[in-house]
Amino acid sequence: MKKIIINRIVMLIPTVITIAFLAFSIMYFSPGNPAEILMHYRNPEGGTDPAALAHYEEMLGLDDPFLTQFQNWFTGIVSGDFGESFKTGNPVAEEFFYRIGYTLMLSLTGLFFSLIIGITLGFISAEFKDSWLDNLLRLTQSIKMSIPSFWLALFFIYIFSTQLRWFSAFGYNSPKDLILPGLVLGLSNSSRMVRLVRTCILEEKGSGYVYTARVKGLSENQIFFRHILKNITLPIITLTGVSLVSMIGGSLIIENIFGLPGIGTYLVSAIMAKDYPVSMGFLFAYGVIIVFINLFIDILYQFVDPRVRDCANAEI
Amino acid sequence: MKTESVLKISNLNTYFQTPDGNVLAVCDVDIEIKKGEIVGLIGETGCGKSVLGESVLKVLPENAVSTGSILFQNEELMDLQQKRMREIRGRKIAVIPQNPSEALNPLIKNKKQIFEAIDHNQKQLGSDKKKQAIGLLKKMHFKEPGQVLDSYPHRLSGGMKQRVLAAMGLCGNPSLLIADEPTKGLDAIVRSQVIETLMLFKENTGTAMMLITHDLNFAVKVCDRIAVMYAGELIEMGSCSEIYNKPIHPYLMGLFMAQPENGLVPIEGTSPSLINLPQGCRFHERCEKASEKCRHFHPQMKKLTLTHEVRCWNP
Amino acid sequence: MRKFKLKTKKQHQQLIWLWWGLLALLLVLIIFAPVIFPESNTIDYARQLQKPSLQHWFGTDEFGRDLLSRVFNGMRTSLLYSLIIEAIALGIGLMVGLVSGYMGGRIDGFFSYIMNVFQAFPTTVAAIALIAVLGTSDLTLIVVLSVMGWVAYARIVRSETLIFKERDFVLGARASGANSVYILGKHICPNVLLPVLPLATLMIGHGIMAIASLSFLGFGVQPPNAEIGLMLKDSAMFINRAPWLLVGPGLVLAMVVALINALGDAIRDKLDPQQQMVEL
Repeated sequence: MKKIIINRIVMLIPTVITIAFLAFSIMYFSPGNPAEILMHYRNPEGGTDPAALAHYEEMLGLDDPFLTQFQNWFTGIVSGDFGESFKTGNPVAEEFFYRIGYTLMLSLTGLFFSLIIGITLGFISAEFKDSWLDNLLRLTQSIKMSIPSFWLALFFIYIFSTQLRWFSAFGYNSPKDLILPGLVLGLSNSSRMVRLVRTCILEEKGSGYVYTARVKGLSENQIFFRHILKNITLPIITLTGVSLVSMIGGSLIIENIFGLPGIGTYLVSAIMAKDYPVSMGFLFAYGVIIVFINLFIDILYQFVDPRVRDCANAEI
Repeated sequence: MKTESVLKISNLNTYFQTPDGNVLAVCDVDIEIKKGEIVGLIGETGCGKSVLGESVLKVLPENAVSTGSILFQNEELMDLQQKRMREIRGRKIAVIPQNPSEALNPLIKNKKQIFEAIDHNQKQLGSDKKKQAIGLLKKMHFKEPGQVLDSYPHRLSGGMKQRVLAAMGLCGNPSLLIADEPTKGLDAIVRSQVIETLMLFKENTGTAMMLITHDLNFAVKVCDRIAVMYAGELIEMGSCSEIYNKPIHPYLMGLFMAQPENGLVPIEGTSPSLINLPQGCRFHERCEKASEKCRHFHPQMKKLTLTHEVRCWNP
Repeated sequence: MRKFKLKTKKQHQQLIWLWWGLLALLLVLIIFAPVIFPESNTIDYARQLQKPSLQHWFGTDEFGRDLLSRVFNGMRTSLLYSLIIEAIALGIGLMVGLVSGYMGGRIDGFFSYIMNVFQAFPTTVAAIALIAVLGTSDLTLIVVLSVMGWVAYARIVRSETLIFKERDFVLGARASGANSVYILGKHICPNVLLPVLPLATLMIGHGIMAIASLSFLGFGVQPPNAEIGLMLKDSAMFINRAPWLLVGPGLVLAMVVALINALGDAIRDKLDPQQQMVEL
């Protein structure tokens, strides 16, 4: 098992390098002279002094060829040095670790809501298949799938913050402030989960082993909890991974609306402020996080499914 | 002749409600299985034979409606609640489900799946359960029952899975075994294993059997009596030798002609849709002997001998 | 056994026709929006932030512009852009998928690897970064979303190509000496396009949503052009004074996307009856 995991991580190295390369080139090719921007941030009243500019250019190594610059940046990353923010002068890594917690907490809250909503509604929908309730739920899901998350966020802010005053609309003061954005994130990602759970339960209900369990004399409850639930975890895990990835992406917009101090808010403001080290570092981090979530899901899958486990063991 | 009957189905109708109309899967079936007897139920795919088995067990899908009478050991199953049915399933009626490769939960160890069957019959301590499970597997001629218990189903071959399923059926004290397509999709070697499995089962329990299959040769080899189904109804029923030596219904004769050793002569046409059944005899469109009468009037079962019945106007 | 009533096929059919009718109506309103709603940019400070009324069904915005007019004109922009984006993405995806699936080996390995890397970036995040490089404009928006969108097509085209290249008619064509370009264009491409159709339909809705999201963040369509995301961004500022401004744009956007998705589902069901059985 350990061997498999190590093997998978080693295989990820080229992917990670490519991600770094893309993140670096995006910022490298963006218009504007980083040295000018840095100079402007360091010395707002300094004007354009060519000597000072040359100093900053040398400091950033802008005269080096593209690949050398990339190499310098990437070796820095490997040793944990992401450079310093143009704007604040703080190390990017520090900024990142301060903010990633909020983004992860938001995404996990979203995931929690989406799983709860998805499994409950999916179960109800499957249990009362083709009834008015099922039809209503399915209609709701297709409508929900078509509502952008930011509209849902505004709607919730209006209802729960400005009208009911249950939650604050902006900023982060306590974990309670994650509930509303988490709910929005979860809701807008739950439609696929509801659909998947419904389809899977119905599919499993018609499968051979459920028939066996039924003729063995097990009750419907026993069949559901002992057999079906275990089997639908596999597709749920897969979709959970996909959802988590799309939630980390979606958290960017939600963080911005709710004013949460996560990496999404910071990345947007860094890009707008042309804060290159932060933009590159955060972009790279986004990619790496997602690659590792996918890896984690793969490994989790092997723990649950003995068939996959056997195959993976045979490969090594 | 006066042996006690285990299962007596009379006037059984089962249909499915679908958006396209009702699918009449089982129509007016009367069949009786006596103690210790093996009755084969033969027909092609989609003729309603599996639905018949499911009707007896009351494990039909929700859109199915079933009427008639099913007497099992003098108890009317039609009136029973699901709760009471569960006590009969797995204890008094054992089932070997079709398609063994999918009939075990791939994510749960064999051990747990067998224990479930044991628990359903009688709650037991862990160690006793294990002892019993090993005993059951030994009865089904497993050489290393301990290893089977500790592995997942995907490690077992199709024939082994079927024997595990049979072992689960053994743990009650069944007086009826319903085997649904036990030979479907299996190669010749495994097929002979299945016969062995069924015989082992019978040896161990002395149960009556309802053998649902499309495999005529297999049925002839194993069964005491054979019932042939076509488009949801029984068309011929008789003792094994009667069916084999004196088949009467043109469909049954066609089936024999379609066997490999008789030259694989197929029956022309396809069976009618169970939604729009034809008027008259259900086989008339494919029947060479069909007369005007066959086209307009539906034949009833006619007794030819004490045991041999057929549904045909021109026997 | 629970009793339940089945909807007859006819009732179901009628309901479906109702949906398609609604979609057609919305599409007509959107496509001919400049003619039907010519006054989308007419500023009138006398009627700022009005509540919905008979004259202004969705109310008016902070410049006194009629929101209904702006919604349909904005949807027109979104729909147009989304169609362009999906056409480009489909084009790239089709080519990469066909080549990757048909050639196999190293080329396939390379493209599959690229696809994996692309999928590691969330669309919104990558799109914002690219927009930062290229500068904010409507053209950039289209380019960026096309660049992010092709992977989904390439994957499905690749797997379909893998299936079709082993089919008899392709093997036959190859045996009779046809070259790869001819086989790909004449034999595989038409067959591969059919399974892509439902995805393409769904992606149009996705595209509209992505455009709205980016515009909402300020990286997409630029004012004074009307666009749903942009409108909602402005409305958000008046959430306390004029919450009704959120309703109209959201409603129309959701309806259009939901109906386009339903169309995609319907196409899928038509093409793949087996899937329909599961849904049944």
